[in-house]
Amino acid sequence: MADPGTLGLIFSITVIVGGLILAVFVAVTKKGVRETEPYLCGESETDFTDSVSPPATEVQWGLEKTLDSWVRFVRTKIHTGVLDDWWSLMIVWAALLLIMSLVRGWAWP
Amino acid sequence: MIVWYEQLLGATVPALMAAAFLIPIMTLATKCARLYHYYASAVAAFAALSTVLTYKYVVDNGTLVYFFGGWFPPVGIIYEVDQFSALLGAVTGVVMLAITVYSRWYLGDHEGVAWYYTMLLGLEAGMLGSLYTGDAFNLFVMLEVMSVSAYGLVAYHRRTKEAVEAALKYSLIGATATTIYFLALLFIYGSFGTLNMADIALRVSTNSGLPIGNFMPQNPGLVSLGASIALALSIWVFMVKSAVFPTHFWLPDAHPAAPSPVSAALSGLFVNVGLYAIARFIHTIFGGHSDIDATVQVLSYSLLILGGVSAIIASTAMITQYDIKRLIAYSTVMHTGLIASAIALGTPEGMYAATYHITTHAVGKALLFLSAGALVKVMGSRYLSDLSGAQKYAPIASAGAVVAAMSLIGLPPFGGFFSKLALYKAFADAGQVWMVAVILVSSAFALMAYMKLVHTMFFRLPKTEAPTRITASANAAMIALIVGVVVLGVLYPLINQYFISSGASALDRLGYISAAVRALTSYFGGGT
Amino acid sequence: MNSIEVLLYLFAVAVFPGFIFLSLLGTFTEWIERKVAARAQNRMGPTYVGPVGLFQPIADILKLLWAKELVVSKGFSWRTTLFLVSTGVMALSAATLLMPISPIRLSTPLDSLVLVYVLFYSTLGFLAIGFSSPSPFGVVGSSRMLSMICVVEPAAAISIYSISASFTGMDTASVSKAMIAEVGLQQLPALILGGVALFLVMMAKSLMKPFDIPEAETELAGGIIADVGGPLLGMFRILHDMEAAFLAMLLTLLVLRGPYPLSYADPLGWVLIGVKFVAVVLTATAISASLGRLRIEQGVALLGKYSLLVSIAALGAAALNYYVVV
Repeated sequence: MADPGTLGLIFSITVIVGGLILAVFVAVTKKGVRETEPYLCGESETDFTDSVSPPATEVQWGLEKTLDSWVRFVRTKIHTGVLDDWWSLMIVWAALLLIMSLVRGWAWP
Repeated sequence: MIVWYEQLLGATVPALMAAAFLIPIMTLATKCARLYHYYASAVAAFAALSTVLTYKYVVDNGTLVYFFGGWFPPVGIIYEVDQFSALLGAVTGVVMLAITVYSRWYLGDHEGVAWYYTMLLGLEAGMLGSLYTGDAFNLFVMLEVMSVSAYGLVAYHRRTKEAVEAALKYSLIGATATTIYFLALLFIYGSFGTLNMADIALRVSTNSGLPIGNFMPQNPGLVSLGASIALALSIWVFMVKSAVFPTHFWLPDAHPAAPSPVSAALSGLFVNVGLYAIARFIHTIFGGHSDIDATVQVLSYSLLILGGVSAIIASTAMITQYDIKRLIAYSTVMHTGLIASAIALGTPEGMYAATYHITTHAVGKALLFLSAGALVKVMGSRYLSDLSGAQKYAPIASAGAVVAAMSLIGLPPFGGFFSKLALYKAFADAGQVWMVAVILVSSAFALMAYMKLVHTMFFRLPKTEAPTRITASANAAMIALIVGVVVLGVLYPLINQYFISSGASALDRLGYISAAVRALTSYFGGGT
Repeated sequence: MNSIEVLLYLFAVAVFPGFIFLSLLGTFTEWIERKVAARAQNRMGPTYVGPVGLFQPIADILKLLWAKELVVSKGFSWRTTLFLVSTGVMALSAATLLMPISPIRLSTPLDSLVLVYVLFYSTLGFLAIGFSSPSPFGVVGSSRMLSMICVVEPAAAISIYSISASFTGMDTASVSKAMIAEVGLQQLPALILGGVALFLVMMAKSLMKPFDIPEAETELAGGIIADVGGPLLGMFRILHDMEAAFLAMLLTLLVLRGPYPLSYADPLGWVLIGVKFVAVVLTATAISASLGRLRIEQGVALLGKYSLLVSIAALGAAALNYYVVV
């Protein structure tokens, strides 16, 4: 086999089919299931899901906290939302491209 | 037999334009929304069929050259469709069909349906025209057609402040960009005396033009000066169109503000045109000439670096988004950055990876936006926290969002894994191993953003009762795209070769020139 | 592949060195961890099942697998979660086929990156467990896991890629070939830097202290497995143990060079592999037993510095070796 794509394909088929077989095996070999309230540290389930459940949007908190300064730089210094700020970056880049190509392509080929 | 078939395929774009401009006339007769839905779907189906047949024709018979109105190049406008543009055209046609079918549910009986479809078909005609054209000035026209339609579509919800603001910002930036491209065309015409792409390529490499219609025997201007300025300006313009940092700012505003099917078309397909034009300009037209080579190299290198920066910055911005459509819009910036880097490599592997990734990204991103749009419409909010438990009300849309997200992260066996693998291979082969690290880190950041989405949709409990239902046709469009994402991955060993040859044709400068020359000589009765 | 190869492939995935072998090795790894941690805390550790409690982890897992599943009325479908965890288990089993101990060895260019992407299924299994629970503690656990994953996954990928690349070239970067390649002085920088990064990755992914932040039993009522029980918890334990064993084995074979200075043909070489494996696990456990848990942002920052940045340094070392020296 010389192609990593084929290897990935074989592996992922193995993983999905094998995972399905394993899951069915584990699930089926049970004597039966019953419906119960889960043990949530002694509190009822509804209390948790209705009130204390953390907002789904805060999943990234740990990473955002670690990358705080970088994230803040990207959010407030680059993506300001002000057209003038964007223009300054875009025009500087256009000028740089022009200068680079002129210097490298024409003046100093 | 072949001749009329070629003519038929070549006439796709004008036919689309005509179909688009027929709609305003139709509004004089009837205001029935359903008619426009069916009409637009039929036209999109025609375009899908025609683009796929064009791709098949190009694969079987080589590059398709179509003279507009029978005018030969470089006097008239020609369409020159090689495998690269034909593949992207086929992707555009097929994905646009899904988007149009989906629009029927999304818009319903909204008052502006007729105008919506006028602009949507105009957008499709512009995109296909930009991909197929063999004329640098016609590219400008088609870019304008496409962009003006896009500005209008972004402002479609014209009573919301956000849409109007986004459309204003977008149109200011976009109009400046196309105007600067016009300036670049001036430099090209001044230095080469022609605007035909094959002719420019010929003049760049041999200093003489096409055998017929060659009014200027030699290049009138300073080739290296004019070409350098033109290249720098047009690369900047195409970077704006494909939203590579630092010219991406319009995208995260404009795409979320547009109606979701339009966001899908803009994010999945619109940006491809810019990427295509970058590849066409730095490889097919201006590649491989000693005077301009230094410019091409410095531009490629800066594009390579900026693509990496783009991926990192956009994926960081993705982490903190609470608006599902904005999150996906930043993901587009990330992926176009990666594709632009791969294009900048200028190797066959790079172009193969870019073509493959453009395709998987187009299908995956269109699916993600359509699914997100369905979720937004069903749950009544764009904010992630309001989408909790969405899978209960929109199972297919949620499944589509997960499949698309996993494909964009690169989980095997979805299409994105194989195109990312191709990207890794291309960067490793070209010696740019730092890009391997960039892809991995940006994918990890994107993972965080997508897991937020998956977590909300699947693992949270629904808060509100959903009022809207999704119709079968919209579900069918999403299912078709889900199948597309899976097929692009699972059938990898079979479809691999098409991406390789399509990517290679972008680098095949001689093939591009000779196809035009052959068409020209046979037009005047010469042998082939 | 012909039918014999297919059978051999299935055997390798299911039995050796795949599912059965790796899960047994995983329980052994867990036993070492528990025993050493217990001794460090002046306890006995497992003693009841098997000699010196060697089979205790197996007994624990079997007990869970044979238990009844408590069906959570408001949480995510436990069968789907079970499927996700099972795909993780199978991903680890399949990935062992890249190792030289496997009877059938798959090897392609860039299989280092394929390995990392396939292993992502095991990460998904970890995440699904916490997210699927209706309690906020599970969600917080998985969020912390996710924050760590965002640093750890690229670190793992880059370090495995650069170690492989230092042996087989940047464009090939085959981890299966790198494991059996001859080691020389020029590979040492990438090997050491990548090894350090990979060691931290192993500790973070197998939730050892100070990186067991997602489990965080003390600050909160529990972590990712706060209210998971029965077969699902059993499968999670298998997944967790296999992940630890797999990464320790990868460290043994890739970074510590397997039977080096002996060879795979030498029976003593296999003993040496075993000794190195135990040494890796013991070192990690000793570090784990002597440190306290970090807060999430401290943990991510630490992993970012000493795992991600070090792995990028390893990439630099490998690239320097490849493009400049050779």
